[in-house]
Parts: sequence; structure tokens; C-alpha cells
Amino acid sequence: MATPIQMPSLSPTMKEGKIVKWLKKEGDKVSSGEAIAECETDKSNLEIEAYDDGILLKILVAEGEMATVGAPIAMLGEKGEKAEAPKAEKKAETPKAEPKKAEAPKAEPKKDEKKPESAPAASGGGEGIAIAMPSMSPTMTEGKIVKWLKKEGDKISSGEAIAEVETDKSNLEVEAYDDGVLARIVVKEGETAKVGAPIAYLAGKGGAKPAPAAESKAPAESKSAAPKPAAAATEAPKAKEPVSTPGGRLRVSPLARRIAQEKGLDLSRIQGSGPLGRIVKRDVESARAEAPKAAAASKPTAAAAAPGTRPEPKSVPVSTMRKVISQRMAEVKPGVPHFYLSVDVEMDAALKIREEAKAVESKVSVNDIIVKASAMALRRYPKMNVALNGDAILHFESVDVGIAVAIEDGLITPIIRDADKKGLSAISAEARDLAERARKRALKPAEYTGGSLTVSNLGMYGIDSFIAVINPPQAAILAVGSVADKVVVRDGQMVIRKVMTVTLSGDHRVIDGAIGAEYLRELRALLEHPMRLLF
Amino acid sequence: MAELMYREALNQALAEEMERDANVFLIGEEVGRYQGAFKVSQGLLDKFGSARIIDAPISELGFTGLGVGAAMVGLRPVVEMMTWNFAILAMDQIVNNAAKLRHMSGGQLRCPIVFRGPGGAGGRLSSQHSQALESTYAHFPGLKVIAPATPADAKGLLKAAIRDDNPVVMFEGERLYAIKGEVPEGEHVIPLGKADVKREGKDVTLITWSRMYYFCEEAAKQLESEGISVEILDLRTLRPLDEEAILASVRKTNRAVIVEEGWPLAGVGAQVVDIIQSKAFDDLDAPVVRVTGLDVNMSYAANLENAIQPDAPKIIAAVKKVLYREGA
Repeated sequence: MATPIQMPSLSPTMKEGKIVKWLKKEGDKVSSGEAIAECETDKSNLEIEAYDDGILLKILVAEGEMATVGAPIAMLGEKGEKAEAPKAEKKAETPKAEPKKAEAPKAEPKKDEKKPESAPAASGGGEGIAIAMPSMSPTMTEGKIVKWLKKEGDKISSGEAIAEVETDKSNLEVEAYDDGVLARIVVKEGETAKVGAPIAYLAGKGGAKPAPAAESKAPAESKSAAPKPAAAATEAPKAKEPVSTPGGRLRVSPLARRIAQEKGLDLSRIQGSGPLGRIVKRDVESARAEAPKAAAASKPTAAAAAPGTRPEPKSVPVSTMRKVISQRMAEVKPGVPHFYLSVDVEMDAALKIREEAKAVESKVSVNDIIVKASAMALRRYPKMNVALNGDAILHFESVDVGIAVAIEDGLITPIIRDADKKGLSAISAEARDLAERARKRALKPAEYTGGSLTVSNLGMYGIDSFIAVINPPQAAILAVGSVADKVVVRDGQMVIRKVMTVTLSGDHRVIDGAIGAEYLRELRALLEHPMRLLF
Repeated sequence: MAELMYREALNQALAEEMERDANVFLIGEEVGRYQGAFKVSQGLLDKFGSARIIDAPISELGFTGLGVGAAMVGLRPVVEMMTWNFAILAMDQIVNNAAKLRHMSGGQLRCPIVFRGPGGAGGRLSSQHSQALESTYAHFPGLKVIAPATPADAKGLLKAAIRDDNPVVMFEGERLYAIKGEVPEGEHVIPLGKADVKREGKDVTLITWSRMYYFCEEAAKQLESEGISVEILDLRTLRPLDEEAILASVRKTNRAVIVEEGWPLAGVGAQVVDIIQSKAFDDLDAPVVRVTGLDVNMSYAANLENAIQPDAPKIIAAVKKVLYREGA
């Protein structure tokens, strides 16, 4: 029966590896200990060895592609065998072959020793093969099981979808990489597991259940995103303790926390003077002096406002997407020095285009026109089409514009590729399709990664102007307000024009104010004279 | 009170204990005729004769074993190591026999023995002669480990060690033998397991022992001039650790820096951090910081030798770090 060859952990810090070169091709004979591929880790290029004899049936990870540690990169089996392995019945008929096949998993615990976080793969002869939470997006660190498509005891074929997983970006299906019987589900629906952690075990040959030892380990690695009602109830009193602020984690030294508790001080109202704003003793002590006044002042209002007590707030676990958004925004705002430039754009001519498009039954939105104009301006100011990557500045060849789409529990920015080269109707159709699929959480990772700049439009909410936070690793974002009638002065006369405010947030590490200003000037010219969009 | 050198204080302790108890004897390389490699045993051969001041050949495992055997049958040997680096040859006797005899004999055997000698770096002796090995011995149950910083403590602790019915490992600072300090005459015994507040302060506690104490004093003086009040806790005994004293001081200052000559990994300081974080977590206003020797073998070159060891500037930087002061 075909067995997977997994991406080994070749360095203590390795989480994934890139296949640089396959040293064997499909159909080649492979002996145990033989190098089968060259792999680029986070540290160096190393060779991956086979742990078993057999025929390289199928290469699952192509040259140049990455695979997380523990993920199958190829299938090994016997001559003439299909990668999709023989049927389960066959396995049962040939019990003699089992011990031999079990040898492959036996070798694998070696790899696991190096990297305890990764799936324990097959943990021993015939006990079962761990199905690991796959990495489905570049930023995915964990995933939530939305639904199991198979139940324990079900037969599974390689390539078959077994569960639906919510990543930070979208809902995707997890496929089995092996045939067998779903012996045990480790991570239940609604629960979260880290990438690489086992979510279930596939029974080995003959459907043997995994060893109980694995049972106790596995749940520890997955953590529940949705605590059971009972747990929530016991944890509820904790919520009273001000351990976090809306802006992020509240840093408090243990001593300061203790003093604040003793004195009944609200830590969220105290400014920390320690590193990263940590609240330390001196901060609590200086706050202590003001406390009685504040308490005295707040008492009457509290009493007046509450004939009964305030109901406990409902605590809802943070969704995976919201968690990633909060982490990344918390990183980018203090981490990336933003500068802001605003400009008023007269949109009369651009709106006329929209009317004309309607006349030919083409739906073009103001946003589509802005996307097109922002892309063309980027093409003309390539210094804006950049991103900082460590010590290097990446200059992008193509102009790919992201459009911020608000969805139920967060937002996502699907990318319109080569937006400068596309016509308005193409942009319009693509934008609508992407937005729709974003709302269904059905986007593929390639559709929301790797943009040059994002257009964030809150005009439809009647927002005049706003400042957006850069969507990393991009270097700029356009915040677009609503189009409204405004009085402007032309040749000494007051006239009414359709005016829209656009604010550019730029990453000042790679873009300077003057470049940003030139870009905005170009953008304005394109929007105010949309005929230029044709040239 | 007489002002004595560290080596003189040790000499005094040895002489007094040998006078007090005929079972006490000293054995080691060059302890007799040569008067001690570091002159700790000066004059003792004339005073007590070669039956009690025994020159041993270069055979650490052998004469340490002799000492352990002697202790088993009721004598109270003091085994001098020319340096603790050489005692590694005698590890089996110290660790496998001395430390475990009481346990393995079900309490029937006692092992009242002192293993003593200089430790630590200094004098460009390079890596094999410059090791602060305290944590190695502190690791083993069955041993007591002491490391006095001052002449007075050296005398008081050695006397207590000789009188103890268990094996005691004593680290003397190789660079401390010539330093002077007031030493009480006669019966001056410091109980094992008691740390000493060498300097009172309120902003931060420096926890240290042996030679590092002097760097801490130097740092404390400078910090004092900057308005930072430093408390120095000299552990003196590394096994058993004086948890009470550590916790009391940290609860007073809410901040701690541990200064240790040895390497960082699995150092005694790491154990002190564990005591603090597990028992005084709510008293901490900042994470505990450790200043240790660098995690490398000791260099021969004098400038590198100094760079590898903790010193006052490194301690000052660590103190400012736990105080969240600028420039840390």
C-alpha cells in the first residue's frame, strides 16, 4: 500500500521546507536511506532521505513549492501500484504484508523527536496515521474545524475531503492523503488546532485504533476556541478583571497587578511607564492617590444608572480571522511608520463615465474607476509599487490592487491582478466576483495575497474622509470617502462639484512624502480627466 | 578584630578545628612541605605533624577516596583540591560515594568530610583552570555547597563545614585569597544555609556569592551615586539555598538581579530565579535578570578573560534594566 513521504524537520526551527529539486522522478525505484529530494529549509539546503524501499509513485509537492513539516510530499509504494493505494478490502486480505508496511511509520518517530509540535505521523506499527492540520494560507497558524465530513469508522480514500476548516481567510476542505478508516477524531467541530497538530487518526491496515497514549496527547495540542457553556460560566468572573484593553494586551507587572487589585484600581485606566507600556508599581502608586476622588465621583452616577446590576457582557470567542486581523494590525500600526496625504478629487467627469457605462448596460462602480486609476498611477510611479522585505525593497513588476471587502466577522482584501491593464468592465466583473466569494469565505490564498496597494472605500457609508491602516506587507493604502456635492471656487466663482476625499497612508520606510504626493496628483488627474484612463 | 587575608582566615579556621578535634586532618597536593599551593596551610605541618597534614601525590581520585574512607570510619578529613578544576578527576568519589553514603547505607554511615579549594577565573590560566563549577556540585543531593566572599565568612563557614556530619564542598575564590577583612577571633561559626545581607537597599536586590560580591559592591556604590538604592544578598551557601532570605529581600525591593560567575545554563542563579518566580511572583515589578559568565570557554587573553566574566558595568546595566531606567 502506498505510504506518504513527509516533509521532515531538518532544523530545530524548521516549520516548512521548499522542494528545490527532486532527485527521483515518479516511477523511480527508491531505497531506504537514499536521497530523494533537495530541500531548502530556513537555514540551508539539505537532502531528504527515504525511510523505506519502494517505487516513487507520485510527487505531491512540485519543485519550488513549500510544504509544512509533516505534510506528505510524495507517495511511496510498490511497482504498478497507483498512488491512490489499493482498496481497504485488499489490505485486509493481505495481513502478511502489514508488518512490512508498518516499517515506514516506524522510522518516522525519529523525525517527530526533533519536532514534537508536528503531527506524530504514524506512531507505530499499524496504530494509525495522524492527519495533521494543513497550512492553507501563508498566514495560517491554526484552523478551526467547522464540520467533519466523515465520522469515526468511515472509510476514506486518499484525496477525499474529510473536514471543512475555517482558516484566517476562508473555509477550505481538508483532504486525506491516505486510504483507510477514520479511526478517531481528535479535534472536534468548533475546536481549533495548530498547523501540523493531529486532527484525527487514520487507522492503519486492518483498521486498528490508535494507541491510547496518542489519545491523551492529542487533545492537549488542540485548543478549544469555543469553550463549553460550563467552562464559560466558570470563567465568567475572570472577565471582570481588566486584563485587556480594546487596543490589545494590557501589560502589568505582577506586583502592580496585586497592588491594583488590593486597592480596587482599574488597570485599564492607568498609563504604564515600563517597557512596552507595562504598568509597574510606580504607576499604580501614583494612580492610587487619585483613586479615592475618582471613586467618589463615579459612585453617584453608578448608583443612579443601576437600579439593578449591570448584566454580564456576553463573551464570544474571537474568530480565527479576527485574531489574525488583530495581531497583524497591532503589529503594523506601531511597527510601520505611516504618513498620510489627503487630496480632494472632483468626480463629476468620473461619474459621467458611470452613467455612460449604464447606458451600454455595463455596471461600473465608482470604486472600479478608482481601482483602475490607482493602478494606472502606480504604473506611472513605480516607486510606489514597492514593499519592504527585511533589508531589501521589493519592486513589483505587475500592478495588483487589493480591494478591501468587509465580511461578517472581519475583512479581507482580494486582489485584482494587472489592474492597470484591464478595462473597467473587466475590473468591475472581477471585483464583484471576488467580493461575493470573499463573503462566502471561498477565496483561494492566491487570490488575496501579494498585492501592491489596497483601495479601502467607505464612501457608501457616507464617510467623508478617513485614514486607513496599511495592509502588510503592502506599502500603501488608499482610504476613499464618499462623493458629495461641495462648493468649490473656480475662476473666482463658487460652483458646486462632486467632491471625494482620498487619503493615502504610506509606509515611510520605503515611500517618501514627495513620491506619495506625486502619486496622488496623478491619481487625481486620472480621476478628474477620466479620458486619460484610456491612454 | 584582627584584619586577615582570606587565606589567613581559612588557615585560622583549619588550625582551630584541628586543635579542637583530633579527628580532623588535612590532605592534598602540596599542603605540607610546600605550605599549600595558595599558602592556606602555611605553618600547619610544623604545628600538627605529617600524620595530620598529609602531602598526597598527584592522584585526586585516590586521595579523595582515602578521605571518604576515613570519614566513613569516624575521622573528619579536609581534602584540599589544588583547584576545583582538578577535582573533576575525583568526581566519582565526591558524587557517587561521599554524597550518597548516608542514603545508600540506610543512615548507618556518615560522611563528615570537607572538599575545599579555589575556583573561578583569573590570572590568564585559560579554560581548563578558570571554571566556576559551583552549580555542578550544587546539583547533587547529599552535598552541601558553600562559597564565602569575605575572610570572616571564609573562617566561619569552614569551621561549620568541618563540624558538619555531611560532605561539604567549599569553593574559595582563587582571586580572593589575598583580600583582607576583619575576622572575629576564636569561636566564629557561621551556620550553613544562611545568606547574608551585605548591603541594605530598597530599589533592587543583587543576589550573588563569592568573588562576584565585590563587583556587586562596586556597582552598588556607583548606582548609589545615581540615586539607586541597592541591596546585596550574599548567598554564602549554594546548597541548601536560603530561600527565606532571598524571598524576604525580593519582597522588599520587588526587583532582583542575580550575579553569577559561572555559565548561564543550569546555573545556581537559574534556581534562584525559579524560587523567586514561583514564590514571590506577585511581588515582582519586573522580570528577574541574570548576569552570568558568557556561555563560552574561558579565554587566555586578559582582555577576553575580563570580557567573559561579569563586572560592575554589566551589573549596572542589568540593574537599570530591571528598574526600567534609560540607558539600560
